[in-house]
Amino acid sequence: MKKISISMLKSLWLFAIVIVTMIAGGLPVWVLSIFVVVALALPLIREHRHKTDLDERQIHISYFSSHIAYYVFLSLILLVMIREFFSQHKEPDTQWYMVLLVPLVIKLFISLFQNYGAVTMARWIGFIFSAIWILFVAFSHGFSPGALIEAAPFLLIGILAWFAKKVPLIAGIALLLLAIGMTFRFYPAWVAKNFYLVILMLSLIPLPVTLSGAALVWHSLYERKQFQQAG
Amino acid sequence: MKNNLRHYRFLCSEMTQQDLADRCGVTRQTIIAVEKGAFNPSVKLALKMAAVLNTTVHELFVLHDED
Repeated sequence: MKKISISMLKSLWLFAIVIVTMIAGGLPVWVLSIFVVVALALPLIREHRHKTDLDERQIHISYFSSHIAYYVFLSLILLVMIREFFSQHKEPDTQWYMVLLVPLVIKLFISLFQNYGAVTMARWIGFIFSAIWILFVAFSHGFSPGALIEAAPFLLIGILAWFAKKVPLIAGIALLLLAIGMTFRFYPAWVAKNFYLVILMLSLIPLPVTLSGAALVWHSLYERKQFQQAG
Repeated sequence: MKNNLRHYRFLCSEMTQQDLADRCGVTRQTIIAVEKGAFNPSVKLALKMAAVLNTTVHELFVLHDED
């Protein structure tokens, strides 16, 4: 694509975002949702398609600027939450926790995966996740038989994380099934409370387990394929 | 890290930054950034530059002692 065409497309994209932001109040939610998804997806697709027009320095600049923007975004969220807490003398609303924690969780996964690979990421997520939720259960219910039952899925995750190195495919499938089970078990309780709570809890409970399981399954299949190609 | 990109560009019939950029598949701004030392190219890009300028990566890029 010619440089002039790309500059025009970028300008049109920015113009469309400004116009939609100005008239957002009058648009149906489904139109806005589609627009948001398309607007956010386009730059990502442009960077990662096979024959991108961006060179390595431009991609590096894009990543670096997004990194800085993310920390600015995080700081603003914290500012809003702290200000609300002190001005209204109550805990900030669930949506603020959702906006704060979900990107952090995503960032953690991607960083672990890219730094250490699928198996280590899955094990670390499994251990940290099960430890945090077991402690949470212990502090909220004490050391009782009820607490043990409630902590059982998280204990199982920790055990699967331990075995993930030796049998990654089995551990991965088991984690995926566990994630589905946890979703069905906890979803009715979340959805009864709050839409934002659903997103937050899905990201904090089934999502880490799903990502760990998926990473292990992917790693096993990839290793198998590599082995077959080498053989 | 020091680079001799400009020197080798001139040795290659005074190749322009734009010409080098086109042959390496990057923007002119990237070539400028590399020449200034503001951006370190990837191994792939360094090898491409060396190939286009008929030299080696070691001739193009030199590590300082402190590096």
